[in-house]
Amino acid sequence: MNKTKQFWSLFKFQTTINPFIWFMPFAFSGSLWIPLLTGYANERPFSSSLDNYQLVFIGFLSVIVLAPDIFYSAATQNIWAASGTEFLLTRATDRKVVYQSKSAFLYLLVLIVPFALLFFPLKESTLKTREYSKAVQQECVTKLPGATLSKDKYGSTDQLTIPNGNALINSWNIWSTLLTAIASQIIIWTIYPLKFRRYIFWAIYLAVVLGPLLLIGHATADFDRLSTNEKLFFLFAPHQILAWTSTILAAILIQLWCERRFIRLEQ
Amino acid sequence: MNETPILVQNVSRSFDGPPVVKDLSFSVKPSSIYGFLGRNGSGKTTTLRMLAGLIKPHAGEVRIMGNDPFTIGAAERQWLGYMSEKAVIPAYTKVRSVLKLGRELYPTWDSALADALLAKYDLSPKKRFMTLSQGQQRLLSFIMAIAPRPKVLLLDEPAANLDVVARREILEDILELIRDCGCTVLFSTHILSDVERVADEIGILAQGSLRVSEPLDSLKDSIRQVRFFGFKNGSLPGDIPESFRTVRGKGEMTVTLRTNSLTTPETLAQRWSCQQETRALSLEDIFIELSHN
Repeated sequence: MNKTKQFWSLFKFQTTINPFIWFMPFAFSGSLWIPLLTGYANERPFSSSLDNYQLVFIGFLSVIVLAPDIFYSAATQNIWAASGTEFLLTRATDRKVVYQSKSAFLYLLVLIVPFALLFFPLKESTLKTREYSKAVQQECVTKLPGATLSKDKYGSTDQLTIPNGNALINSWNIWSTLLTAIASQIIIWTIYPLKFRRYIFWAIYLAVVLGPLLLIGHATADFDRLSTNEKLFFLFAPHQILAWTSTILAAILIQLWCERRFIRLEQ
Repeated sequence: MNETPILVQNVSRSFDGPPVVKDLSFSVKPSSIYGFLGRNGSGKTTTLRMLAGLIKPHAGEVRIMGNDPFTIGAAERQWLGYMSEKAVIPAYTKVRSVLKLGRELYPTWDSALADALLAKYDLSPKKRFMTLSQGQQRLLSFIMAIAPRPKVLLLDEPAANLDVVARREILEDILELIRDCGCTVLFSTHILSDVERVADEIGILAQGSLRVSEPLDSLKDSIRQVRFFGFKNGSLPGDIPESFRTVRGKGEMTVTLRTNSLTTPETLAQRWSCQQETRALSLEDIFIELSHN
């Protein structure tokens, strides 16, 4: 059986392994699609929020799909045995293709919602939003071509109009999701052979998730400073081609590294 | 097939502690059934996992038809059937998805055999793996191992976790199928009656080391339990190097040993100036004697 056919057989099988896993991307990406729905209801389509809370769960989802045995303990063994890695590796498969099918399934899961939301900017690509942070207003006007500040119908001068802004934010969400999925894979396969991998994973995960929460007080106290997220966005926005090219290149290289690592590691 | 189908040579393996398998060596002849016996924790599953290519030996080498099972690809793997002692098929997967994968991955997949077993055990293709009974789960795992018509079949405790009735029912079929499949089978179990009916050769593993590896008949013929008593000088002799186990009592000594032309109960009794009583052992007795710590 050639490798392409093998890949598709394994990929299709991955999609049937756990029906509940399909709820996760939709549940986790509420920060992306709920504002869209409410925006439609209020006739102000699309959110200007740069906060993609889906990122928080990508690490968790990555482990479930790629290496759930990181969570193994006597109590959870049966639950996580559901990954099927051992089953697939002991069939007529190539280890590399097993990994490719798993990572392809992970990318499908995490990117399905951000990509589906690409259809919305096709309907309304210009972003009109109220932005009260002077720092953000300033960055938008100087770094995003065609962005303007104007008065809204209530007379406030905080109305921000960004041509193709909705598409830009969507692109940002896909890019940040992809970057997080790549980083998760690196972390998983780096810590996988370590004895205390489960604790190391949770330590990294909680540090990444809770770290920003600890800084909330600091961030909200100074409204006119850009948050880390905003700083990253304003780095990304004017250099999208460079960001996308380098990310796709990194994704390919890291995929190759993960495949090599997976092939050599015991399950 | 010129290569030895299953070869384990000087293999050792540990998991953050003392070795689970120590300097293990054995081979399985083409088209024969090898019963791999051992108590729980004796290293059977570790050995089978090495042969299935899931883990690597820390020393020595394992070979399946001349290849390292950890590095083989799909082409070589289609000749290797493996049934784990654990339920490794994903819990939510439907039976039909599992079988479909089998059909797609193996050009030699025997659909007629798979369908016949499904029908016999009332295994609905629409059911999810987790909703099957333990017996049905074991059977589906077995179908996935045998329906590709492999040349080498590794079965790790095929009747694990089954009650007596289910075990007997399913094992009857499994044993019949492996007897007829013409493939080389390595069959691990701690239930001796399973093996006694089908195995051509037996290996008994204890504390990670192989105590014996030989044809079943020869094993039964050569291992004896001998009671030495009535020592004329009153003191018991030291240990016999060939013995598996020695139990000393008041003025007597019971030894489990392999008899050969040089070491016979009679020659030993003559050497020690005592009397002897020899007892033939069943496979179960041999297993118990050889598995003692």
